[in-house]
Amino acid sequence: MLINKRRMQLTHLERIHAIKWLANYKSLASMLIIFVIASMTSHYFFTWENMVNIVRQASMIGIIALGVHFVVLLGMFDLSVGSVLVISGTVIMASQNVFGTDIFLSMILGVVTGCIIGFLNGFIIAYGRVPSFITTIAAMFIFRSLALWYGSGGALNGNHIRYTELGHGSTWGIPNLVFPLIVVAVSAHIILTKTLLGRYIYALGQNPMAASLSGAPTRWIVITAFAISGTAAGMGAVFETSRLNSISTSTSGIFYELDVMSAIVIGGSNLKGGKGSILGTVCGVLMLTMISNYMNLQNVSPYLQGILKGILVLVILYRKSRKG
Amino acid sequence: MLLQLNNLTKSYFGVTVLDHVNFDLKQGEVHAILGQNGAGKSTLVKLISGVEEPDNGEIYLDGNLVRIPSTLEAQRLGISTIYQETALVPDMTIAENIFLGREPKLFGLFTHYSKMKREAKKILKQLGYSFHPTTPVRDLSISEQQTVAIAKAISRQCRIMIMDEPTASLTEQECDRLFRMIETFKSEGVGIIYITHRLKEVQGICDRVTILRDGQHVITREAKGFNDKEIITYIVGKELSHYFPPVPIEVGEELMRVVGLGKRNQFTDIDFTLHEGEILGFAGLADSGGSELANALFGRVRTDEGSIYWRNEKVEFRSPREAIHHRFGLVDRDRAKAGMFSDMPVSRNLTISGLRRLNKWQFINEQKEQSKALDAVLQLDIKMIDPEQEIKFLSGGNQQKVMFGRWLVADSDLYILNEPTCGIDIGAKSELYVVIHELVQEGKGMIVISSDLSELIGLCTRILVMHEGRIVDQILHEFATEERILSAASGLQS
Repeated sequence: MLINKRRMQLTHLERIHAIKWLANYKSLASMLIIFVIASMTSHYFFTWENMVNIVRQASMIGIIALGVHFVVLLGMFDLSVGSVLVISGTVIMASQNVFGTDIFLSMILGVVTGCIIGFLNGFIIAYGRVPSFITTIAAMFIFRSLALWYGSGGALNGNHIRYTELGHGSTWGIPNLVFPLIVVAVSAHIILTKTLLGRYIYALGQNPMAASLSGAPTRWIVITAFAISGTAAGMGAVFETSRLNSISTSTSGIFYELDVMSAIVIGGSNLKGGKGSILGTVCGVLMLTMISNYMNLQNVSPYLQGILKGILVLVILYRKSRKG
Repeated sequence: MLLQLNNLTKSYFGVTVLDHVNFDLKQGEVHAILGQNGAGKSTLVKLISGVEEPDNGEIYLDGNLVRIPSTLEAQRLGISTIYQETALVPDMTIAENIFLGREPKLFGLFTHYSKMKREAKKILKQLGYSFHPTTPVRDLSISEQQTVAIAKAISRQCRIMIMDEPTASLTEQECDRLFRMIETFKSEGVGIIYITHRLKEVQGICDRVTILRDGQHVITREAKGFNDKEIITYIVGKELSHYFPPVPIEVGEELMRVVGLGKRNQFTDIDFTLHEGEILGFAGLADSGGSELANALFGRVRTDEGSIYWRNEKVEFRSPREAIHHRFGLVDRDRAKAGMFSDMPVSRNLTISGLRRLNKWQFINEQKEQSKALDAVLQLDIKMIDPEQEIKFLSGGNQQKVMFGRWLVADSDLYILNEPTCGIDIGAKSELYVVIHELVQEGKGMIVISSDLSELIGLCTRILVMHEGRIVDQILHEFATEERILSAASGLQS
């Protein structure tokens, strides 16, 4: 193998590899460019406090995006993550208040709720052959409505004071929420690059018929991907509730699914499936967060920030369509 | 001179695929381009049809220097291309596909549907077909789709028609019909560039022949008096002594027994046995049920009746996955749609079905994977720069070898090959035949479904002929002739 590789290292091959390498790390490069420009034009941007701030802001969308990334690799959508977040958050708050469960048990219940909903989504998509777009929109309505009904449209507050230490506190100067985020990102990367499931996900995303004919357990893969997405949204609920020790049934998680999709697209994933890396998605999330943070620092009205996000997504999709 | 190409050169990533090639085309002639996969035929077509631009060299149309930067420009210049894999929109009707982008308008605003249907019907009739123009293309067979693609080209009033292996998936009758069409175009002064792997067609319909090898122009001469042996020598660069390896006669124990298998509207009463070390061929015209049977054996579709015994054990597969667990392997006729992961490296394309044995607790053993992939590459002599190269950069024949290699890695015992050599060159074909022969000697079983009769006769221990979903004849190798297969396949009593 090694001899073979050596022999093949000809000059033009090195060029191919260089191009491939750049393509793989394109999102990282763009993120660094934004980072450098922002640091040079704003004094406050490149300070420890602001860096911590950005990472804290990015963690919420980030954890959900890591889950949805699996679904996007299949060429599908998960638009239910915002509603999964709010229903999981409701479960966390309600189980604490009503049943008086331990806060850790509540957190686990919340994550499990997300996982079950994701599983159901996947089950309906895989066995019912309903397009993911439709299935997850239905789930979005159903679970948002359920949360609104339970909370009468208002907020649910927790009574466990130490809970907010998780969301607000820091360890060694780094926000606590960053640690689970890193663990999830690394595991997601390992699953996608080193395991059977990961290989099958890419295969299914690229060519579903060929994947099925090569023996990939296609239904199981779809269900697992959606369960992972739901679980990640459940973890997002832990992040959200632990910051404020409350969940707002009417405003929490609104538009998260769209922010997440934008971040994944900006991170270089292909919406048709089969292409994209965890590193790209992480960079996409950080890029979006940095841009809105930078605009806040430059006193741009927060109401206008949607315009920039929209333009960014458009530019990226436009460039992709030109290439394809 | 209608079209003249001077010193065309094209390279990708520093690899020269076309090296100072000259070519010309007269009005009303059929000019064949022959060559192995990777000889540069497809690249030449791409340059003429505006998919790519040459690095160097000139293209003259009617003596005027032209540039063809896009397919749109090619169409404007009257150049139409009919590809192997047709570029039709499956969900649109035949008429809509034919007039896509050039729909007849009513008041210059609305699509004039009735006119479009009428025109489409007229063109199809001219071609000798009687499809309803409002049938969705999705419902047509591959050969019928090809006809629609030809109809599309005709409706554009083209002057140069490029046909990239138009007969690859057609039956004999359909081929005849196509040849008659070609005669008509010729008499109308259309120049036709005809790419094929079937040498028989060269004498039949072509006026001149150009042979390419390794991106270089080898020879251009009149087709008349250019015999097959000479042509092969020019294509390969050396004489081919063996085209087919010896047919296996000694067979081992029974591998598979199929009893009364049936699926409504596709096939009925299928009975056969397959032994270790046997190559069993299925012949038949298009839609005779061979492909459907292959899919049913592989668990891709469920059957209505009958049973399959695998090593004397009754099996019923609900999915290809289960069939693969029983060591079945299927090479589908359409490798682009049902085989390749085109953006994945060659190595991953090879190992995807064998991952079950290449992992430990769900983690892929990459070292083992690499070495398995490399074994397959060496055994099949797949030509590429690096196993990590994406499969889409390989030539058709090498891609097909990868499709084969997938089942080598998965260690299959039964190979179901549906048109295994569809659209690949003679060199790659005979290499695949050798691989099939080697596998059979190891005691594997082979089921070959093919519309290439010489292939079945040269390869198979036994040939079963299907007609309208039934097995109508069983022919042992020593009695197999094209006449006997054809008469059985067309429903004549033998």
